[in-house]
Amino acid sequence: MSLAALRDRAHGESTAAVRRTLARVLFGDRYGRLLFCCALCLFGLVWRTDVFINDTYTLANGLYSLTNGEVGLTDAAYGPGLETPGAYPVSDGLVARNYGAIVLAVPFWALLEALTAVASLRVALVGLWCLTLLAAVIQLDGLVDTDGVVLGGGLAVLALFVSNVALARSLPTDATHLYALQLFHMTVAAFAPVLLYRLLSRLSTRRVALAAAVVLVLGTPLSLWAPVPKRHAITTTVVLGVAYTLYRSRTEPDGALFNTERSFRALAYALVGLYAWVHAPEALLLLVVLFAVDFPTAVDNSVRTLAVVTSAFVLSLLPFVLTNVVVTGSPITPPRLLNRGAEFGASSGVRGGSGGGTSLLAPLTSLLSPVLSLTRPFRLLARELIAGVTVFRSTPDVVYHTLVRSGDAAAALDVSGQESVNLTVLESAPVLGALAGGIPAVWRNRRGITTAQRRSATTAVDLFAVLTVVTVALLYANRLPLHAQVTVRYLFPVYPLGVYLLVRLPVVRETLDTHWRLFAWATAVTTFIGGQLLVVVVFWTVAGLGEAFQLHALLALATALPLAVWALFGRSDGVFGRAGAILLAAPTALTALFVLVVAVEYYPIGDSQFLPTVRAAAELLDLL
Amino acid sequence: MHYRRAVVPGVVAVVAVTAVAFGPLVAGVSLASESRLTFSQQGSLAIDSASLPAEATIEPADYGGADYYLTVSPATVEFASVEGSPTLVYMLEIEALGLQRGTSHFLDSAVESPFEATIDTGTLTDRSFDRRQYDGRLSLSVRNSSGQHTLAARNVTVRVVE
Repeated sequence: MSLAALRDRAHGESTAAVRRTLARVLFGDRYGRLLFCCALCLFGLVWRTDVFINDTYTLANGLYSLTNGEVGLTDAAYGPGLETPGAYPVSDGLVARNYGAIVLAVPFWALLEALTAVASLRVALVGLWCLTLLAAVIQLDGLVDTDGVVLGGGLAVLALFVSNVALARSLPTDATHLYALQLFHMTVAAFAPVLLYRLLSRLSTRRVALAAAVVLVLGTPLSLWAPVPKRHAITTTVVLGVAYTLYRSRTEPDGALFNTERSFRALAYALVGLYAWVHAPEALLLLVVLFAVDFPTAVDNSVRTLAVVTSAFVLSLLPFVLTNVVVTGSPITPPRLLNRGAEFGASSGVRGGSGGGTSLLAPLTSLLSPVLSLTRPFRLLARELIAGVTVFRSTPDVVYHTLVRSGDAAAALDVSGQESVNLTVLESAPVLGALAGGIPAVWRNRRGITTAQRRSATTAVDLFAVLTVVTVALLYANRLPLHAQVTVRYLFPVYPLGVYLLVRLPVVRETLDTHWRLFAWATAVTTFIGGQLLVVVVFWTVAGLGEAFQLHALLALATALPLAVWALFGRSDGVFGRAGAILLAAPTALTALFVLVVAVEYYPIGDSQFLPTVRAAAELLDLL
Repeated sequence: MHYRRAVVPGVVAVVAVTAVAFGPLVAGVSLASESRLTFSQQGSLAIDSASLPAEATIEPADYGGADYYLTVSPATVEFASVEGSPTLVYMLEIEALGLQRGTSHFLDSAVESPFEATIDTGTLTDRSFDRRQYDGRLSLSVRNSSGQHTLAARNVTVRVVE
């Protein structure tokens, strides 16, 4: 064999090895890849290629400016003008926010521009959607013994492609920045079920992990927000990523790329640091929670380990810091804090300095000012959390209208104050009703847990999940309930972590493990048969948007209540287990249906559904 | 299973070729473009007859929503002639509530006759109704470049259902 042939072969093998490593790092295994592809396809199904909430204009204009080499906002290529919600004034104009998402969407924009140059954008994107579906079929083929999966799947995908192209209308090619942002957010969101699956398959069975991923994708409003360029999709993936790396940092390392506990720990902090680039206040909260859970429970807190972790975190903050310096002139002030920072921070800092003993305190204050400015974000966070506690204690009705029942509460009304379209957490994800099973679980462990349990990786992740859910709720408590929430999107981390905690309950875990087939069938039947009944009920009895949303809310609560009772009861044997599987499936399917009709019927945003067949179905069906 | 090897490249090839065929590099093949609503309002129409409903209702939202919905039955219109693209406006006015609700129908000469004009069900922000029923006035009018002319009108009773 010649030297050149040998080199080629070595090169080929190393490329294959790199591909294998990359696939393992990103998706774990074949199931992970399957989940990723299926999630992306679902998001594509409910994707509307227009603006759902008007601060998307700001992000799209931010990306437009960035692709023209400007950091600040230059032209209002999207929307009515540059002063859209989320645009912040600086000395020489306006800036956008969520720069992390804007910068990372640039490759997507470049891809779309390249596609526009050679192909019809609509057909190419529909084609990519079909190929993602084909990729899912290929992954499935490797998992089942049946012959003909690829052939049958390939033909079905071709049929789908042809029917979509037959109904297609051209996609406006001047909005590639918006599509790039949407595609970026969908891609990030598609990693959420993958991470949940990978985490749970390590601390439970693969079946349970897969069922949990299905509950996350179908049973929470994730797919509603995945195509919307806001932080929620990213938050979901980040909290699950942190939970996963936290777990791996406490178990025997067997990673394809990272092979020490230390590196996974560093990765957890790096994820938080990177997230600051998108939404700094939430990243700060995550940092505090992660540190509070990680530091006391870690086995190894040696100087070397802490140095590695700290340097990884500092490095991950670099893009955030650089962006802040360029945009706002201060390394720790992100654009989003410009307004609020002025309100809160200035008042606290200035008042201290201009008090009675100014002359004496002034030098001290100026000496301490770097420390004070560094701790200011933490003080702001503490103040918000304390304010949250006050809200929880003083206005329980607001908490009730945020978590349990929206109904005719003023808080449930939309921006124009007309329709009751803002659902609560439980109405948006009724499957979380099973968290009631946490009460007996905690009661059983009331005498405390053993030291081994306290040190275990699972306990660390459980603690992280509970603390994140509680602190996120407190952080936003004094701003809730807000208009334009639809599904309490501010509390979005509650959904993925809620699903995680759900599956941590023995009764849910055992039920999903034993009766996973029944769960799958019940979910499918509720979706496809119940869905048709639901459409008929909406068609005949509903006059407007508020009524429709409240019908979904009531149905959700009607399934959440028996589920909660079952979880409280806590039995998963025999008929109880089978009942539990059905009780878990019904709310999961109801949320999926809700998201689907929101995208297709309730908020079609000018019939801008991405898939031509979905759009055609929406035009045929006139529910409201 | 050798056919499996052909499926994936086959589908990819079909997708790629179709996408390029509809793209800017190939002339002659293109997708239908977005149909945009035209608001030219250049045109006129005349009617043979119009039948308007005698009643409308204000009802609280079902399922615990906070809203009141105003529902009006459709009006049936027989056109004598439609030229250009005039706009047909079907409107309900309730003076005692200071309320006007209507829906514009953008027509063209292809419109079918008889035509069912509707008023989109809408919510009422003012939710304090001191009477069980109100007097309203329903009207059908045509709007074009030369202004708005009423074609038919009638008084209706608007019932408040509690």
